[in-house]
Amino acid sequence: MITFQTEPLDVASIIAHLKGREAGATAVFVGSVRPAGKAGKVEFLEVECYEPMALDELPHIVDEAKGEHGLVDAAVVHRTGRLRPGEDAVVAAASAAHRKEAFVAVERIVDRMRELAPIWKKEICREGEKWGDRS
Amino acid sequence: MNVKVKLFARYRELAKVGEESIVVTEGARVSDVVAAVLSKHPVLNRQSDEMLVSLNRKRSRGEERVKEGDEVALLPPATGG
Repeated sequence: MITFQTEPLDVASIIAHLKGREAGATAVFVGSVRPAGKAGKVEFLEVECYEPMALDELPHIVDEAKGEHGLVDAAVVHRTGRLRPGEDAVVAAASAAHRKEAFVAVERIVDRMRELAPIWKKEICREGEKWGDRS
Repeated sequence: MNVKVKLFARYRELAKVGEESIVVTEGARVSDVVAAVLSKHPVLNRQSDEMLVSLNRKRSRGEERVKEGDEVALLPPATGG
């Protein structure tokens, strides 16, 4: 399950998608919009994506994690468009036989996604706008 | 021949265009397309050290030859997740 959407994320349905298989553990990362940004108090976060390329690359990232950590399944759902502080921007989840593999794998997926997936974020603050950097 | 060029995020805002067609000669490489874009939008030159490039949605180091209708994208470093 790898998708991009402009609608709010439904974390429960993403977890439900992974459960009911042969996993004993599901680890979930939820990335949300911070109210305090680098340019000031965040009014909005704009998330932009080169979606066709991201949909080519993310399955490789997920497959890599599945191979390395013996996952049963994994999911990445990223929101795009204009988000308010407190809203969820991304959900990454991994299910495995045991918790350790699931925790490690979900961190790996998020790290690789942040490194490779063509997705960009811009904070819109009263004081100005700032594109995200890699820090 | 025409190659489609896409610009994203900061690059799109700097160049004030998200997609355009660039004319290059037969045998041109991805790096030639990028050079043409930078020549057309000099404001992007300052970004070129960190710039990533893709050809038809695959990362490119600039060496591939392009053909009519190919899609080259100029990508700032990713910050998603």
